[in-house]
Amino acid sequence: MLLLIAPAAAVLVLFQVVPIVIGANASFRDWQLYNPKETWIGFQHYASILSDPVFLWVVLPNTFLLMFATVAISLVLGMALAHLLNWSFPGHRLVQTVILLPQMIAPVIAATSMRWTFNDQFGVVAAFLRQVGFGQMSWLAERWPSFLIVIFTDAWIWTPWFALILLAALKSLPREPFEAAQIDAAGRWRTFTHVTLPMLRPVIGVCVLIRSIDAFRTFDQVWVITGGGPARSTEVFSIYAYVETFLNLDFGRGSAAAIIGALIILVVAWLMYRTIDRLTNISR
Amino acid sequence: MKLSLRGVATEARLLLIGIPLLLWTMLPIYHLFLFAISPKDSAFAGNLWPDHPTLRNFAVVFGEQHYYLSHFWRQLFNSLVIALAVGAITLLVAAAAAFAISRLKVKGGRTVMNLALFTYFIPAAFLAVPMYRTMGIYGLLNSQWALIWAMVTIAAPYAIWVLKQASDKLPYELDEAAVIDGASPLQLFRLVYVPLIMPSLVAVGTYAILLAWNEYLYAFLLLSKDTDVTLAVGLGNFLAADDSPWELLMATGLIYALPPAAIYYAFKRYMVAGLTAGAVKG
Repeated sequence: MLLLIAPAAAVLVLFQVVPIVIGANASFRDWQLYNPKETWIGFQHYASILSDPVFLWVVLPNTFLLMFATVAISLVLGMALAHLLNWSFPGHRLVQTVILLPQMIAPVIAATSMRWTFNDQFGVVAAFLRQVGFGQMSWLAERWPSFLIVIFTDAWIWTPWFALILLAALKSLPREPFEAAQIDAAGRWRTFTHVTLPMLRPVIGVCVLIRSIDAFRTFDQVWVITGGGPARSTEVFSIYAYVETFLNLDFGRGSAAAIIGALIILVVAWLMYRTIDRLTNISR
Repeated sequence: MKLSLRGVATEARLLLIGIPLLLWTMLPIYHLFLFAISPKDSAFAGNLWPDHPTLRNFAVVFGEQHYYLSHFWRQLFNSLVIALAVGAITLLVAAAAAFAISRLKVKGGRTVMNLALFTYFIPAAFLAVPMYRTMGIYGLLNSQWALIWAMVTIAAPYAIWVLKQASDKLPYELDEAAVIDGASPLQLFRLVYVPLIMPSLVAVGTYAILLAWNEYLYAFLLLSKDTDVTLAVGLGNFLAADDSPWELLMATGLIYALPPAAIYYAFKRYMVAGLTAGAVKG
């Protein structure tokens, strides 16, 4: 019944493997889009990217910082939300519905809205800060404030995802350990750290892995909010590859950047998988 | 609940965490909504409620009365067609593959599975340019099929993975019984496998539809005519200028979020069950 896996294999080969091969081939060539000489230059692009200070000291740290911060924030907030939603209070169905909205709104829109929320003249945050007596703050004109907004936006978009999956996991946990904890008079926090958390570990592990890989390739939010600026200080991997290719029109260099990024995430994902697997035994 | 001092204290603490969390989730959406119901000149006032709330922005959007929105209905239709096509094709391809790999133990199944997992690690944005060239080679550029196939390959790895995990949990006795009764593999697929795996199919289909619906980068790259692109790209066009009619963008954005929300609530039960089936190996 090879016929059944043939479509999947064909789709993957035609639209993933072929592009990867084309990209890999281009990354070894002098291939500017306005001057496609296509001459073989070996690892020259790789060497030049790996010695590019922007890449080493801005893009690389930004990418990992974004990945770490957004996963950590949305995991913690998602966990808190899941606990709140697991507790029945009047109107909790409505709240459960409303809380998922960030996932529904297209990232382009969410990011644009966020950009205006933090606009230094018209934004709600600026209005609030003025009321409390802070001066004008040009969020998007400086590196860390604008990067903070990017992290904030990404975490905001993904918190409901964590909340949803963790809530489902919470609801499927057996009741006995919690009853035992109650008999032993364990407080809420102790119950959480000693009973809930260990039982949730496999789910958390998989969520963190999937989300981290995703976060590594964030493009839309960063592009809409900062466009990599001011002065390339908030560029992440996907923006770097995009700028090289579509703004500098250098297909060879852009492809090399893409492949370096793919190799890094492969290694990182593999290491994470090994660690998470050892901690939680998800593969068993 | 018995009202005790301790209970009140716990509730107060929960509210202390809960209210900021709710605010954190709602504030940007409220801001979006505020924009959408504000007339143009007061949209930037920074007030908590507009002085003259209006539904005129929605009328402008539905009537295609602005340059950026001159193809609103056409682009909404494109989004719909492309998202549904991606959902359907992804389901067909992934369900067949998961069935063959998990139930029939087809030779080469592991290779396809590993290939799928490997491509899942390759970020979509990194493949954007090579994908563009590949579509050029296939002669698909500026055809909506280019976007459909691109999104299918992005959705497929996760879909195959989730469906395979779910299939592995089905009892084999069912297959054996059907085979003894003389079912062919295709009948097994249609009459036994698909009905059993329905919740996961719904979850995966919804996932693929939502993915295609909100995709910006590939839609922007692979399609160029204003009458071909999805509404997500149409929305992105607003960002080209600094003096864009933001109130219209936000109104359109709200409208654009409604279909996914509707699909999501209709299938919510399946979504959670189906996606976590993949996340937790039983």
